[in-house]
Amino acid sequence: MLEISLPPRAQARRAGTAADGDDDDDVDMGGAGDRQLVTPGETITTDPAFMRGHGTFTHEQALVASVAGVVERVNKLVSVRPLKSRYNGEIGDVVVGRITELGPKRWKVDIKGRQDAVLLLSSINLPGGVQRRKSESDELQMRSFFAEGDLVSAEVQSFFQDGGASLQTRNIKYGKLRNGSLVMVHSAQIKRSKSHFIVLSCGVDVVLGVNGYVWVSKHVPITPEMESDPEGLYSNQNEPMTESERETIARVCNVIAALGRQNCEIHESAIVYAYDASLDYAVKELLKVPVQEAIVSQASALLRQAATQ
Amino acid sequence: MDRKRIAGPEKSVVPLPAPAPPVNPQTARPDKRRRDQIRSLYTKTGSVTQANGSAYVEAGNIKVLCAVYGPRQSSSKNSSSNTGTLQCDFKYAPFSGGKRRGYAKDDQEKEFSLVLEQALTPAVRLEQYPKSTIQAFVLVLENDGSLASLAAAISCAALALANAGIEMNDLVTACAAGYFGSAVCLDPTLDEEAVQSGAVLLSYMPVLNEVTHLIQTGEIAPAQCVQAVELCIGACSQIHTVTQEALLAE
Amino acid sequence: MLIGASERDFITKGVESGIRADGRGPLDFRQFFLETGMITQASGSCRATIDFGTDVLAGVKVQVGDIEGRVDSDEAQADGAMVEDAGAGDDAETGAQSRGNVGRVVCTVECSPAAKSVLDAREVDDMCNEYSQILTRTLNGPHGGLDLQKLCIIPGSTCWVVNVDVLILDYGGNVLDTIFMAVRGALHNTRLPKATVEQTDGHFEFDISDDETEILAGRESVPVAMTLSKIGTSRIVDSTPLEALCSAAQVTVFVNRAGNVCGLQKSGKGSLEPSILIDMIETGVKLGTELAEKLDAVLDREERDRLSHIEPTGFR
Repeated sequence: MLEISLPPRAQARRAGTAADGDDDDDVDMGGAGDRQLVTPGETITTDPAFMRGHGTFTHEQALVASVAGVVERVNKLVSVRPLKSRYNGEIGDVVVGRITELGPKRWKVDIKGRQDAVLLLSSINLPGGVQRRKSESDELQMRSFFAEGDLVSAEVQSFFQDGGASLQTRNIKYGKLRNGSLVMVHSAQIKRSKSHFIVLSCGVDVVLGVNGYVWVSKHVPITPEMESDPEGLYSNQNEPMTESERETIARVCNVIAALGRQNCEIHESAIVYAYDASLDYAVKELLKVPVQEAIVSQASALLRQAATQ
Repeated sequence: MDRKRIAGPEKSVVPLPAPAPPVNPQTARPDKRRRDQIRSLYTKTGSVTQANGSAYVEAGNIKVLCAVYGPRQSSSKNSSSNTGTLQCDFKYAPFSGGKRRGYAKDDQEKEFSLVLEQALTPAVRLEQYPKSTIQAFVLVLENDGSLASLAAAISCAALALANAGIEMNDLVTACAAGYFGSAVCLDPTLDEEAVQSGAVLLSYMPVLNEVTHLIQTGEIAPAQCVQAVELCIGACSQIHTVTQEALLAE
Repeated sequence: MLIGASERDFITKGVESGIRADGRGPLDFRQFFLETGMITQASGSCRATIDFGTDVLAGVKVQVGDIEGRVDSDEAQADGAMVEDAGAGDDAETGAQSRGNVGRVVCTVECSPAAKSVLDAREVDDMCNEYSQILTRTLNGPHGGLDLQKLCIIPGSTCWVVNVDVLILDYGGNVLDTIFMAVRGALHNTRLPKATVEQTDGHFEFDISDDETEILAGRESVPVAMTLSKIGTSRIVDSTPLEALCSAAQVTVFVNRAGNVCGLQKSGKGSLEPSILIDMIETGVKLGTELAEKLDAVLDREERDRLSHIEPTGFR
């Protein structure tokens, strides 16, 4: 499998299928409906009754947008939700992050936000159960819990004064991530929902981090014993995997990446539908853009169908 | 510009020597070696007294000196790593070749420094030296064949590391070879290098049977390339017996 | 860039069992995209992209330069083994003579600031320097394909200098192979203004034509690069950034259209067993020849499109 070709856009142009100029701006102007799209510097309203929210500022009594996005109004409060932005945390969010640095009694965690989040030593489950007392030796062996580069799923617990997030993993469903690989999508594509921990019927677990990091791994059932197992909680050892399990994980990864590249919202039913649609293709074929377009359009058709029923 | 040194004219031209009779290693090598014969080696350890370890290697006209300092504390920026780092510094002496070299490192010397690092790192047990840096400074006093000099520099640096008591998996040795038509000659000299159609450099850990570096230039059929690699591996094992002896002789 | 221990283990075991994290087999490539001639001010240009990965732009500018300059400033390389003299070997010419009537290729690889933040600044500098040296070494010699003697305008004094400048616009693994694809495309796309030399009472004078151009002689023999990365006990092509972090040693094989090895370069800080090394060389030659063929097919079509005045899309 070795293919070299013209970039897709160039192919279309040279084949003459796309008319000059109009292939870029297929934004549906009429379809915006009640949504008001604004660009930075655009006046939203001159009515002094409205209040200034996020993404706006006042200039000579007018309310002006500071980001490109959708205008949102709650009573008198006007704000602009940016089309694309770094992840903005909220308390209770499930996130997936990567440890970048060890500090005194804390880890720095990259969650694709404006600042690195912080995971305090006191916010993790120490091996040996909840009853166990913290000791100084825990502080000395922090790297044996989480080392630089490790991936972790966690919940946003609170915010510091400067806006940095503080995470916690004091639940057996959070913690070190193993047995799989990471897919990165835009944080706007993952909406907050009831379930961020998805168990797919094909034997794959998915953790949808609200920050746009998605962890795909082999399904490992959570048992109560695991909580007290000192070795297992922070081990770096992966479970043995068969070839078909690896292929399924790769398929789910590619499906989620395809949804990500086609700017779809990513949630449980979208993944399930797209996964079913992908079964007609080999796993490595899912890397091709036309195949990605096909399965995503098939999945969104099924989604619409399900919504109308 | 360095104002303290007496600067020569900005442009200088080496006087052209009388043309020497062209060498043809396919028939006879200028120093009467066989094709698969390397230059005779002289090795010595501990020649730089202030360094933690040092070595001197002479192969024919090639003269290489290496001093090893460390392990010592890494700078604070990258001190958090679990393994140590090996830094290599390769420099030709200004008078080492046909044309005078500058004091600042040029791009080729920078690349050779990187080659040294890549060739030696697999042998050094860096996991034993967390948060530390080991530095190896290699100076080529005389250059008689640039790939052959680099090969001598690798063997010399490995010897100096061993002399410094750094924990190592194996003693790395290296060897160069040149292509002359269909013939492959080991360890080409500067005169032979001028007429070769390609060259190989290979560094090797003889006990573990692992290749640590490989560079090849020149167009060649794949089969001949494999043959040259095997020839170099054999020569590296020969060099190993010499460097081993030098280490124990002190 | 950082990688966790369990991710490393997952990728390594996956490569060993023949299923990579994105479902590819060990010797499968991502989709490559290539377009030439989008920079009109350059003598030749090419952009090579890996789908959702590395993005490389190569531009060629030809200039008239002194042949003397080569003997002076580049003596360091010219007298070394790393850069062979054109026409050396079985030809009767000795180094000193042939040096007087060849042009030269000057290569620089730069990482654009846009791609820099992914990697550590020192690593980027080392990588760019390493790749510049490899390019210069590979293209300045008989094995580089280009006919350097044809670049000579007046023997002993004036020649064409082919400046190849490579910009890495985005980093997504397998950079060296992409660079060579882009450089090969840019050289294929290059048009050299026609120079006519006249001799008047012992003095040479030359005239450079405004509209007449010619292609670079030997452009079809420029080698391609094929990098194999050793991960665990197996080896893969076209590694992603995470896979590159798991690989201790890589071997790049430079192959021309005839299927001959034009260079080998090991990189990375690991070692290789001779049997694996030889297997990697042989696999690299096979895949490299295939890559060169496919690349030629694309470049030939680009040439046809150019002749029929179809404009490149560029960055649109």
